[in-house]
Amino acid sequence: MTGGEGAEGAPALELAGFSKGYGGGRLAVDALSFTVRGGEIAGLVGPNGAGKTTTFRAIAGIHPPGAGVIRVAGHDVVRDGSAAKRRLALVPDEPHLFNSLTVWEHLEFAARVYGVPDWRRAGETLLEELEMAERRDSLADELSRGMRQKVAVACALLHDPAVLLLDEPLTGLDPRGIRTLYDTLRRRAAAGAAVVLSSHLLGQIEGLCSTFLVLRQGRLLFAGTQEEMRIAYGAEGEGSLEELFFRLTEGSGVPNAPQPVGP
Amino acid sequence: MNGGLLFLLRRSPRGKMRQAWRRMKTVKGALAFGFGALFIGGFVALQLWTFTLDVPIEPASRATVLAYLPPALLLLSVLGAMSGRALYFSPAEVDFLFPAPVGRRELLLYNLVSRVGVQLASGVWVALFVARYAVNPWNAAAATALSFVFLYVAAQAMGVAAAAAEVYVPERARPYVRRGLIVGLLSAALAAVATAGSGATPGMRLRAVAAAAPVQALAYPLRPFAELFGAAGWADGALWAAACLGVIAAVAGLVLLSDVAYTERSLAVSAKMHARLARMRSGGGIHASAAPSRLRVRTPGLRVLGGAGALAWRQLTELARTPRALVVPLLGLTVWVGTILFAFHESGDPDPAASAAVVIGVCLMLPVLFSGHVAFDFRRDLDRMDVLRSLPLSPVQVAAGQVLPVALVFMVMQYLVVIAAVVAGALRGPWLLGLALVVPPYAWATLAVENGLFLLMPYRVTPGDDQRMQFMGKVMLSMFLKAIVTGVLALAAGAAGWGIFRLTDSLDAGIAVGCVVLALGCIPLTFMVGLAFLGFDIGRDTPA
Repeated sequence: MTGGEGAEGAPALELAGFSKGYGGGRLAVDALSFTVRGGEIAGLVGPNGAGKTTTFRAIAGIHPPGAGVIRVAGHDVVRDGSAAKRRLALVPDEPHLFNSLTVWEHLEFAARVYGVPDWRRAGETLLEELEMAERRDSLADELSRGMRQKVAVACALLHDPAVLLLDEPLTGLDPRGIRTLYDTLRRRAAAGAAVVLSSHLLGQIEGLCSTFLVLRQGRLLFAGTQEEMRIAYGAEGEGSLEELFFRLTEGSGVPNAPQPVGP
Repeated sequence: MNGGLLFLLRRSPRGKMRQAWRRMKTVKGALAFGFGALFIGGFVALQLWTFTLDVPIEPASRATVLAYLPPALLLLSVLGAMSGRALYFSPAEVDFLFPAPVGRRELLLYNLVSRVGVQLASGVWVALFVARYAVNPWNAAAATALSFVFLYVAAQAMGVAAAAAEVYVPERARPYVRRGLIVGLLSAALAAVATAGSGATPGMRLRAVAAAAPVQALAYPLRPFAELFGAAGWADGALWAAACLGVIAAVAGLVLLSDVAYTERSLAVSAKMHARLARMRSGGGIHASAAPSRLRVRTPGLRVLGGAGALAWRQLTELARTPRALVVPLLGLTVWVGTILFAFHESGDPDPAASAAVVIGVCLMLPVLFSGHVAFDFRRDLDRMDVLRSLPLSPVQVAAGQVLPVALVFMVMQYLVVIAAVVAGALRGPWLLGLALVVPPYAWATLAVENGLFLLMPYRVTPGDDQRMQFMGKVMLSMFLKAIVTGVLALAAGAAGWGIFRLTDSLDAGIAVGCVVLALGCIPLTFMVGLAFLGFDIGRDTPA
C-alpha cells in the first residue's frame, strides 16, 4: 500500500495472519493481513458482520487475537501492549462519554491517561477545529450524538497518535460536521498519522480514503486503491466505490469471483 | 496508578453531585430528590429511633454467628461472582480505558476503588437492620460494612479466576462446564441436606449444610467477619476489624498480583449488563429487562379496537414473548393466595365480612404493588415516543391502546385471586359479585394513573444509575400520587354505592352503582393519560 513509513521505518499498522473467533467455533476474522503506512487514510469496508469492529478492537488491544500478530508503530499489541496503545487511538462506533464530566474535563482526562504534557493549547485548538469550543463546559449528557462524536474524536487526537482508528465515524454528524472531520483527518494524515476508518457510507468516504480494505465474512477480499480495484474487478468507465463494492462482496458481474487476499 | 484513572476517581463524585444539582433545578427533579431524601432520611431516623426503645432483643450467640455468617458470606461471594458485576465497566469506561495505555492491574484497582464507596454505603444500610441483633451494634455495623467490601473483592477474584480458567476450556464447552459447576454445587448442598435425616426441620437442614466440612473449610478465612460481628468489647472489635481488613487486602492483593487477561470476559460481562440496564431504563423491572425468550407466541389481533387494538396487540405480543416479566407478580400472587387459602383452611369458618375484606385488600393492592414489574405500556415505549406521536391516532386512542394490555394482565391476576378465594370459601354472596364487577375498572384506573404519572414525570434514572436518591424519590412520589388518585376515585365510587345502599337498603344495588361510578371514572382518567401523552415533550424527555 502507499504512503510514508511509520515510526522507525516500520508500517504504522501491520496485521499478519490475524484471526479471531467467538463462541460456537465461528471465526469473526480469518487470517487477516494488511499494512497501513503513515500518511495513509484507509477505508475498511464490508457488509454487516464482516469483522470490521472486531478488527478494530483487536488492534486496540481490547480483544486478544486468536492467532497472528498485530503491530502498532512497530509494537506488538500483545507483548508490548502499553507501548502500542500509546501510539494508537480508537473512536468507537457509539460514542459513550462520562456523563458527569464536561467536554473540557474529557480532554483533561485523556491527557492524563496518555500522559500528555502541556495539553491545554492542543485541546483548545482541537475544540476550535471541531467547532466545539463553545461547548467546553457542557456536561456530556447535554450534548447531541454528533457533538459526543466530536468529543470522542478530540480525545482520540489529543495525544497525537501514530494510528487512528475510527469505527463508523460519520454516523450522527451533519454535513458540516463531516466536512470538519474530513479536514481534521486529512491534516492528521498529512502530519504522518495512519488513519483507518470504517463506514457503510461508501459515497461519503470515496473521496477521503487513499486506499481501501474490503472485508467479507472475516476475510480480506481486496487491499489497494480505488483505481486498482476498478482494474482488478473489471468495472467499466469510472466505477464508483459503491458499484465496485457490490461487485466485490456479491461477486455479481465479476468474471472470476474474488478470492480472499493474503495467506 | 495512571494519572487519568486518578483524575476519574477524584472528579466523578464531584461530577455526579453537579449532575444531581442540575437535575434539582427543575420542579420534577427537586420533587423527586425531596421525596427521596424524605423517604431515606425518615427510614434511617426510624431505624435509629428503634435502637433507643427499651425493647429486649436477644443478641445472636457467638456460636450461631460463627456457624452461619462465614458460609453465608461464601454463598454471597459465589452468587456475586456469577453475576459478573465485579468485572463490569460502564460503556464510557470501556471506550476510554480499554484502548488506553492502562495496565490490567491498574484497571482492576480502579474498578475496586471506584465501587468501594457504594459497597460501604450498602453495608451501612444493611447494618441498620441487623446490628441490633449483635452484642455490640457498632462492631456489628463495622462487620457488615466490611463484609460488603469483601463481597466485591471476592467477586472480582472469582471473576478473574474464571477468566484465567476459561483459557483451558474450549469455547464450545464453556456453557456446559458452567452448568456442570452449578449442578455440582447444588448436588453437594442437597447431599449435605440429606445428612440431616428425614425428620429434620428446615433449620436443622440449613445447619447441616453450613456445618458440612467442605463449607466450613472454604469459609474458614471468613471467620474474622463473624468474630467482629459478635465481638462485645472495643479492643476485640478493633482486633477483628484489622483481621477483616487483612483478609480483604490479601484477596485484593492476590487479584492484583495475578496478571490475568480478563478484558475479554469483562467486555462480554459489561456488554451484557449494559444491554440489561438499557432495557431496564425503558421500564419493567429486572425481570422485564431480561432479553425476550425464543417463544413465538401469537396473541389475538384485537382488530375490533382499530389503531388502539394494534398498539395493544403489539404490547401483548411482547409481553407473551417475555414471560419472565411476570415472574415477580406471579410469585407475589402465589404467596398471597397460598397464605389466604392456608389461613382459611386453618381457621375453620371465619367471619364472611372479615375474609372478604382480606381478599378485596389483596385484589386492590396487586396492581398498586406490582404494576412496576409489568411495564408493557408507555414506560416500555419511552424511546419510541416519537413513533407513537407520529401515528394517525388520537391521543386517547394511543392511551387506551397502551393501557389495555397491562390492565388486562392485572384483571386476570385479580380474577385468579377471586377464584382461589371462592374455592377456599373466603368469598361469597354480594362480596363476590361486587369484587368481580370492581376488578376491571379498578385495574384500568390504577394502570391509567400509573401511565399518566409516568408521562408527566418520565424520570430516566434506573436502579443501576448513580442518582439513587432521585430514583427513590420518583418511585415514592409516584406511589403517593397513585394512592391519592385511586383513593379519591374509590372514595367517590364507595360514597355513591353507600348512598344507594342507604336509600334502597339493597347491597347489590349499592355495589352496582359503585362499580358504575368507578367505570365512569376511568373515562376521564383515560382522557387525562391522552392529554399527558399530548403534553409529553419529546425534545426534553427522551434521551439524546
